[in-house]
Amino acid sequence: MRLIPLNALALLVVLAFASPVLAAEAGQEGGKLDFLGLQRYDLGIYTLIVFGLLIFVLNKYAWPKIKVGLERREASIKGALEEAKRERQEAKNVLEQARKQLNETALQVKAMLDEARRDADNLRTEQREIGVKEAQAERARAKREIETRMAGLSKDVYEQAVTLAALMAEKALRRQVSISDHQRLLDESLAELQSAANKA
Amino acid sequence: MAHETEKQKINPFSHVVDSDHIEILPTIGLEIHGLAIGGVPIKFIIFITISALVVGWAMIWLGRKMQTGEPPQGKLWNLLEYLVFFVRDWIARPGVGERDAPKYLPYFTTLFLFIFAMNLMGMLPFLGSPTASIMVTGALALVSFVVIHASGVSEMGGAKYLKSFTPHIHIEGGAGMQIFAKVLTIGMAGLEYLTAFIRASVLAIRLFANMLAGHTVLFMILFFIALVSDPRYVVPIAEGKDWLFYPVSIFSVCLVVALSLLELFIAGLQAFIFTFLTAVFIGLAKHPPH
Repeated sequence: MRLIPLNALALLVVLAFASPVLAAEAGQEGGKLDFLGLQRYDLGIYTLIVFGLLIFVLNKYAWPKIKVGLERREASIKGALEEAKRERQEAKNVLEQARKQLNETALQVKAMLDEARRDADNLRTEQREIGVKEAQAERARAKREIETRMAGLSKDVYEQAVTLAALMAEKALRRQVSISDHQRLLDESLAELQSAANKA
Repeated sequence: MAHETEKQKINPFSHVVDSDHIEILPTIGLEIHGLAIGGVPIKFIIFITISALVVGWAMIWLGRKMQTGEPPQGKLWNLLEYLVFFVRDWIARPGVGERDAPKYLPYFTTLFLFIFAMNLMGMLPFLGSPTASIMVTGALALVSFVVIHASGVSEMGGAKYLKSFTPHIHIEGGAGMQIFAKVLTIGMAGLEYLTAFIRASVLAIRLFANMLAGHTVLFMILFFIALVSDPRYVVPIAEGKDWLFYPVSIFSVCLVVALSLLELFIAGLQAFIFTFLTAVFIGLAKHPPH
């Protein structure tokens, strides 16, 4: 009530009481079209005045504040919208940066993998070469050992053969040997040679 | 014949038009009388005043709330803000355009809410709608008439605005055809000037007729109950059939409930139509099509 001027209220009250008197002065007529209330021009005048006052009061006490509120709301929404746009741009930038970093990381990983693969290949080649060299050295060493052993064995066989020949010669000199004896001696000698070789 | 002497003339408009009393429960004598000054009823004057006070209070309250610039909180704040935005988005902007909408928004909102409040008064039990009076709607239409043409004059000047009612008719031909074109122009200009008044009259009559007819229909449907049960009224088809009271009562009440919901919608719709047409006419006055 503080916001509605007292004089406006007073005017309303005066009009409320005055308008019927105005209508009464105009006279009332009965008839079938009474429901139209065409003689009630006091209602029309009262409506005009009340509506006029309402517009006046609202234009003075309500609409300036509503306008201010709407402007503030608009500014607030505009600010929020701009902030949202800015944040969206920032997020876009961050996303772009992250994507860029991701791409760089992917490239780095690829490079590292390539390097690792290259290192592995190199290592494999080196190892293979080393292995081949070692195998060759081992083979050469084994060959040398075999040759040494063969030489030793040959010497042993030679010595055994000499011993056997001497033995056979000794036995041949002691008695007359037949073909069958000769055969048997030869077999014994070979058997001894074999057992001597096995022992060696 | 006893019935005939007691038979009363029914006035279906008695509950809808202005009167000096409010009937709450007349059968038990619960009525408010003496709403008259100098023999002239002031029921509608009271309702118009209440409607104006309600609208005034609501908008001032909304202004104080909106001034803070905070988002709306609570049902009332949201409702009132929605109504303001509804008028802006559905009436002011389509009617007068984006540029002029802020200038006319206070008028449109006040007009819409004032009519809506007065229409809703008729939906409150035992009360009535002041817009069921042609003088009330006529006064509002008169204001709209002034605003419409004042807008046109302020936009293009008095002479140019008056000239805008005259259509440009071009007919090729001899002197006869040119005279015919002149006559046609004068005739159409006359019609256009007449239309300016007809538009305002139609605004008043449409609102008045809808509110009067709607509330009268509601009354008549409920009145069927009295017709079949009250001995003061003689209806040949209902004579000696007391049981008719029950089906007629159920039917009438159900139908009135349904139609009351429709009336509630119409209360808003008619306020919208009145305000929207005012906006459209202002738009046409400011920017005439020819």
